[in-house]
Amino acid sequence: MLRIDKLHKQIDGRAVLQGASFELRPGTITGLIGRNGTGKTTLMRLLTGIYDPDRGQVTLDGVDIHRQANVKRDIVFVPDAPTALEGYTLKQCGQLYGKIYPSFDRLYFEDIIGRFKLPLNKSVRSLSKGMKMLFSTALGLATRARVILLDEPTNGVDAVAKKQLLALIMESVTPESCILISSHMLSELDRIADSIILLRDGRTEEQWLLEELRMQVRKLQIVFNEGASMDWLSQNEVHVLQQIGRVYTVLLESDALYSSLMKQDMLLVDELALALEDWFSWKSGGDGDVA
Amino acid sequence: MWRNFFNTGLWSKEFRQVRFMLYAILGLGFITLPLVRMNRWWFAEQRHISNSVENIIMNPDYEPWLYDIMNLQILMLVMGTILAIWQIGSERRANMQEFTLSLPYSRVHIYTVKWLLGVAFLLGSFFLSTAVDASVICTSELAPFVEWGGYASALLRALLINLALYTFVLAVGTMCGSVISQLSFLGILILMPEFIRLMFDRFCWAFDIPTLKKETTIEGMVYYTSKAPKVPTPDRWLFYDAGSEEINAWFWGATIAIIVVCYVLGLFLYVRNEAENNGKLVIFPSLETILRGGFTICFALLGASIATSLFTNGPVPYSLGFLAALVIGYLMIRKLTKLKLKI
Repeated sequence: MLRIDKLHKQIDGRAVLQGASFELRPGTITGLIGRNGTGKTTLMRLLTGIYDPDRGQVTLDGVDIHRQANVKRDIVFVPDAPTALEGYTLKQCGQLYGKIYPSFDRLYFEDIIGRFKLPLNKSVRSLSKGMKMLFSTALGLATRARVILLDEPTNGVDAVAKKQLLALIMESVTPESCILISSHMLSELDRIADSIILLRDGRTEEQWLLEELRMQVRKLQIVFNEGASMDWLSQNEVHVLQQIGRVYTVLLESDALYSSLMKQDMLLVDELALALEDWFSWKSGGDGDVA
Repeated sequence: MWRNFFNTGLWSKEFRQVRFMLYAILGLGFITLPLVRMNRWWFAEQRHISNSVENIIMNPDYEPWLYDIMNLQILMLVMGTILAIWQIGSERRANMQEFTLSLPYSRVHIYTVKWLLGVAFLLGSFFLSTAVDASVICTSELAPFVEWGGYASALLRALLINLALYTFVLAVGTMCGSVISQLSFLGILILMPEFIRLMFDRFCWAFDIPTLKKETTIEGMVYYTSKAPKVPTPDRWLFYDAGSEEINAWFWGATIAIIVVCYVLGLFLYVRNEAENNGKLVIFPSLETILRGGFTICFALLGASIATSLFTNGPVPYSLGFLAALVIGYLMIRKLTKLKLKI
């Protein structure tokens, strides 16, 4: 479906993307994560033709979107703030999108606007930050485009509306469409995403189906008997998330390591549910401060 | 293809972005031409109207209807410039351009729609204003004196000049990163020919190179002309006197050529638009290098010129001023090109 092939992009002399490659498959929700300034928004902008890549290409069903702009009728980008639409009323936005996107579903749009109790005849400028995001996400989803790109969709949205918004995103995915969400709300992606792409140093080397990730990576709480086995803990595929006294919370990436752990002198080993945030902290080399 | 080209989505979006300009152009156009004519030939006291008629009869070369078209031409030059800045420069702020470029339209399509919309605004308001104006003339005591061929020719000439400036400003906007830089570049480009001439004179003066050439007429009269190259200055062309007799095929050809060249150049640059550099002085790194070099040299020439004015005139003050301004100019432009305005 949407294929991103070895994208390179330099901005102000800094290589933001250095060969990002992945594919979005129909019927899936993909989370795009990475630390601040890793190029998530730049990547989104490349996928919609706002920026031109220095190298590489973005194709939808084999057609380069930077050469054939009309294929973008099937790609919609919802930025983290709908500033460009602030002069319009919500209704006018619906009318404008109806003219631009041939599959725009006006009834669906008005239904969602009603569901979120958004004022159809008021200007976008008058909405609160959270309401703006609800509205622009609804507008993007109503295009019925096959590829929907959401940049921080839950930005400023309150807890109740967030729940509704996530439900809306999930129910919007059809077997023919896919959604790419760039978000720093890892707990939300954990709930709704099928796969995850980690953007690091301009590359997308870590791509996982969340289900596979949970099978592959184990989160364990271990209490060692006679102090920790430092040799075992210092291995590359072991990441210590937390240590309180003799209690270690670790992530492991291989079965062999798990077998070797069993040979250690332990008082207790307990398997915990892996959260995306744990894995992210490990792979991004930070403390979970992401955006 | 053509059905797709006239897709209402992009036209609606572009129209909405500048619709206030249409109202302004129409309103001000009406005030500048037909309303003035009405006040002079409809609503004025009869003795004033009779005076005006007498004035025309006494001065066969006096063609007041043409000078009023000149006023409309000047107004439209200003309005066309604002329109072009609004369409391109202003769009680069607040993620407006990001929205436009994310839509399913090619950049050729987007730029052409912008240009066509601007042309339609200018054409429409010109014709509307002059249609009302012509109606006023026809129903007034001015009617028997008007030479309609000349009226139409002056209108067409004013229209072409306006379209050329509008297309030029739009093209300038495709390489500038903000409203401020688009305005600055417009000013610089318009003043550049005069600046070059002035700097040439100053240089010759400082190095004692004679700039005046002695010439003699057939009758034996001696006169002096400047050796400085005669660069055509844009103001003469922009404010071309509507009643001027000098109008010729060269004018029509050059003006149409400017429109075509500026449109093609604008299109060429817009297709290569680097939205990631919005907010900068220029959005293309290659042009940034040219800008740095050009600005530094111009600043150095200006510095040299100021030095010869402040101190004594001669090669030494000129050269010292040149060198000092060269360094200052380079540091200034280096700082300016690194700035990214987020307005």
